[in-house]
Amino acid sequence: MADLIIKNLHVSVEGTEILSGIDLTVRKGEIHALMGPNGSGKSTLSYALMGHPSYEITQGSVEFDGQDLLEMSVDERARLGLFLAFQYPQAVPGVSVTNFLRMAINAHRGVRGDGRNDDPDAPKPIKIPEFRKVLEEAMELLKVDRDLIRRYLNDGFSGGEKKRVEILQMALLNPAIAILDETDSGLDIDALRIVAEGVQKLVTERGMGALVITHYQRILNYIEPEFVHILVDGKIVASGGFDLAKRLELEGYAPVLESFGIEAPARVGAGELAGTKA
Amino acid sequence: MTATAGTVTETISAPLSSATVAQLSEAAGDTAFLAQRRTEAHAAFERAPMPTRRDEHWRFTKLRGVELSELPTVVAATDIEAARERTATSLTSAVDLAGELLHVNGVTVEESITRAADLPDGVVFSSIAQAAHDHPELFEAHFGTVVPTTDSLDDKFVDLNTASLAGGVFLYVPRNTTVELPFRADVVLTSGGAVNWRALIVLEEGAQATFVEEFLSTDADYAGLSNAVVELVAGANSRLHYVTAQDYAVPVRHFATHRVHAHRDATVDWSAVGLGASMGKTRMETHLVGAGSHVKLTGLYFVNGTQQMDYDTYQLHAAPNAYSDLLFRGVLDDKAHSVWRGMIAVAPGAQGTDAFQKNSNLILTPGAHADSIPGLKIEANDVRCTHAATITKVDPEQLFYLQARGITREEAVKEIIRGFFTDVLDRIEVEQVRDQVRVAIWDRLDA
Ligand SMILES: Nc1ncnc2c1ncn2[C@@H]1O[C@H](COP(=O)(O)OP(=O)(O)OP(=O)(O)O)[C@@H](O)[C@H]1O
Ligand SMILES: [Mg+2]
Repeated sequence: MADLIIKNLHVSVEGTEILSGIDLTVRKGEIHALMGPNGSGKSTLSYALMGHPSYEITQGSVEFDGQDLLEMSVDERARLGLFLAFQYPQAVPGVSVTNFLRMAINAHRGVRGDGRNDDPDAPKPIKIPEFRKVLEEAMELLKVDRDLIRRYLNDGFSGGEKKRVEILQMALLNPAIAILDETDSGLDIDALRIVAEGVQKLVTERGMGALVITHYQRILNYIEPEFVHILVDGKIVASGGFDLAKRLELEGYAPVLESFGIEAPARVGAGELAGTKA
Repeated sequence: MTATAGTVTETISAPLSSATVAQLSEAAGDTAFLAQRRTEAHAAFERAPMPTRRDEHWRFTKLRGVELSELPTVVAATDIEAARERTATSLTSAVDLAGELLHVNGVTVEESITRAADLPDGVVFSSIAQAAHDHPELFEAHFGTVVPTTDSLDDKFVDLNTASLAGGVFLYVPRNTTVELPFRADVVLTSGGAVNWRALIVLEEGAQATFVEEFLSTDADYAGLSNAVVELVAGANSRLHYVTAQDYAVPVRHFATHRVHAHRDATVDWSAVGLGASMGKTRMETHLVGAGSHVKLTGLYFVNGTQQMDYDTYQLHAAPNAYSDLLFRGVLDDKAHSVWRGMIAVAPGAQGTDAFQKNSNLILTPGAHADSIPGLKIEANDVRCTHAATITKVDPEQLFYLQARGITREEAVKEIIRGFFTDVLDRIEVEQVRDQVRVAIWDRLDA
């Protein structure tokens, strides 16, 4: 099973500890929501899991698909089925979305280089007609504009366009576990529904597991997570069901945390946290 | 007298002296005009000091070991077959042509010259020697007008070129005449030789043509010298496409002066590709001598090992309302070094000038190094000039993003390089050449 099992994960950036012992298991077909105030370490967790070189793992372990994730290069993690929809997707000027998508699909097929190879058993690059077909389907599902994929990757894209293209990539790469880092912020109301339905479809039809990082209940209304976790100051301080997200939206962090017997950190007061107000 | 210039077959050894110049003049079958130009150039060469690193434009050029006096002035074109073979896999091969010419070392191979059957009347595509004999008025009216002989140290190599002339190309396109397909010249250095290359391209008023030249060598280990002078005349309202590609073996040392005179309302699209040679100096100069002329210059270089690429570009706005746009982009790997020195000069009276220059470098390793020195000298007041120089490393965030999609680090770096070159490649207007250059660079990435 391609489960993601995180145990006692500690992560530092430039010598400062940001995550202080995360325990979290995301199994295939499960949807988890991860909520938490700004700066609590949500993106740090996603970057660390994906293997960004600036994030140093100082303690703990992460198992993915039965293997030690932390031993793998970034691209190995991706090819094994881990996907991160970035909070701030990177622009790559000069590289068209279409070309990039084909490269990514071929990489996932295990194609090396440009696929020119004398070995008859070597993985073959996706054929152009097949590529067009899967791309058309995914674009249709996610209502991605045709002009967008001819442009350079994320170059000058609007916030919402970037998010849609992230999800387009997810749909094409078919990951076992996807981390969606605030994919909902920046999307308009219709796009949010389309994207959420797309995620839901991958979960129900392909058994994808998802870790949905968000500040808002809205996206969760569409994808109804079974598990909701609250991250504060680098620790998961509370976990529960969908109800927990609803309560956060209504009450704010401090009262909810208090009800768990957790004293909110001094700088965390009700309603003081950007993006957490009802 | 209409003597026919044959292919020079003698080797005349240096040092260049009055005696060898005379010998060369005879072997090359010089007309009186060429003989005189040769003698003058030799005298200027003798007077011009050898540039050193104390001289402004030669600061980065390591001339130690470049012994001009040891140059074999002309080497008989004995390796024609090897040269021909090399051109089969050139950057710009397999393009349908209006005419083709092979130049080996110092000598143009007369028998190699082909001309499309349907060339319009009055178009001349021939060796320089032949042109001097057959079309003296046309030839003499233009030869040495764009790149004249001077005794400045900056023209030392130009003078050497003129004094040692034994081949080259003359392309002449008459008034209001259009030739659609490109003309092409392959300039090939073979083992033991030295390249001396001269091109004179003349487009009369309203003419249109494309000229493609490529510098190649047959021997991967041979550290020969190459010296080129290219004179381009874009007449009033003419449209010239010019592609110059340098893909020598790495040990070669290459010096070149390319200069265009763009006359009233002429349009010039000039593309320069630099991949080979260990060092040298390439001057690329745009003289906008006519009002409303329009020049776009696109440069692309990709070097590795200990290669040094040294470009000196000059955009001279001598007339009002002219437009020049220069973009040079280079990728440097290993311990490669590039120099780009660009100057936009706007003469008094060149009002309404629109001039741009930009150089961007992508550095792949800590050992690679780029010097990028833009300059402006403006003596008119109604002008728009911009310049920019950037030196960047592969962006680790871009790399991470691509890797996060399963693309290996190695492939991701290549894709970022491809992305970096996309803009400059897209600017090359000669379509067939653009696609071939793209493929050649992509292949080099995969090598
Ligand atoms: N590369 C970095 N350099 C320095 N500090 C960093 C870096 N990355 C993260 N941090 C710090 O780590 C903390 C956690 O940041 P992170 O981006 O993980 O928060 P987040 O929970 O995703 O916040 P948000 O809800 O605003 O997206 C912050 O204090 C942040 O400033
Ligand atoms: Mg974040």
